[in-house]
Amino acid sequence: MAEPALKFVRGVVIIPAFNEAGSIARVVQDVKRAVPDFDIVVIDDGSTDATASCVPDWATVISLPFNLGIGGAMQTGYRYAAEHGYDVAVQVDGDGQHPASEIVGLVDALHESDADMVIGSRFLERGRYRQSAARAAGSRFLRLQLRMLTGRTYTDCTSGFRAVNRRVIRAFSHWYPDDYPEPEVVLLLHRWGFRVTETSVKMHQRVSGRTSIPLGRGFYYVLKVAVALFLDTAREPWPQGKVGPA
Amino acid sequence: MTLTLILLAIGNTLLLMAIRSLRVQRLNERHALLFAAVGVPFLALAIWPDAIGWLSGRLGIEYQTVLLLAVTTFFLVMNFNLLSIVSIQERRITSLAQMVAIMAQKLSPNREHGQGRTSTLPIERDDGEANNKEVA
Repeated sequence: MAEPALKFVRGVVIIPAFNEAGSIARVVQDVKRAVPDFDIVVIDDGSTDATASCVPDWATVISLPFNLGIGGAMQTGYRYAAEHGYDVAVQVDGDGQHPASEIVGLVDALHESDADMVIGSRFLERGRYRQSAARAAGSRFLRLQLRMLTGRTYTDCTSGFRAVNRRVIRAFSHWYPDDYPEPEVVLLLHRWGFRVTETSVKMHQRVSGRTSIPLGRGFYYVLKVAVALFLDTAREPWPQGKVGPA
Repeated sequence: MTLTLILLAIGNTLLLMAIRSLRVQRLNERHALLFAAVGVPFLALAIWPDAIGWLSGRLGIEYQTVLLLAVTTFFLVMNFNLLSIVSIQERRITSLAQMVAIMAQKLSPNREHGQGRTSTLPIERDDGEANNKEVA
């Protein structure tokens, strides 16, 4: 059996957190247990609770001066990863939805598939994850739209559980969408010639805190992302020309 | 005659305000130019009061409709310009906030290769609440 890929790479786990005091300590400890050789950086996105002080001392905390939203927080993590020359970055939500035990599989998939980004998909295997009818309809709509725009099927384009390589770290440090970035990121990477693939993961329900997209805002989310995806087809993925084609 | 005087007064006031703001460096050149552009139509109408009537005759559209279209177009262009500026500034502020946070982490006293916690100074939030972070 081949050695796990993560033994040969310098990796970092980026955990964006906004008011996740109730779950962040457990998430960080779980990640450390799962990938002890990886560094952990928590991006405290202007939390008003004690999120930053709940993070164990051995993990890095970057506290943003005010709330930038998930896109701004994630890009902070990628900037940090680019500055420190990491080979692999894994993004894990601070709410406890992404099981740390799946990180190894995600990194192995990145290594074995020769992809630039691997998405941890809840839906690659049927029946592994259940969601409400409204959310399922929204996800399906975005999946169809992405299929139309890229010609490829991504079963879970809204999943924030992802692993990326050095080239994508560099790209994201220059440009990352602001709001609800996950589907947009897939399209931008695809358009720029990066390889994106999926691997099956299981996900937990949230440990605590609030979902970033309450059900009532689901319709706005789908509409906003749908429009953004269409607009993305008309613009340069990385406008300042700092990141060349893959 | 009265209309011409009013239009001249408005146009000149706007242009003078733009020039003054530029002189005291309250507005940069690009924005001052935009503001000055507001005054120019007033001056043009003072010189040629029947310009809108002439245009409506040429286009075969009602006088009021041409006026409405002209004003709407002007405000849309202004809005577009201002929103473009806001978008650029927003991205720059985001970038600065990220860099400040990363630098603060680097300067953290107990920082040792990817370790250590840090804080930025408390910043007054929009809602007036101080955003206090733990200091290393």
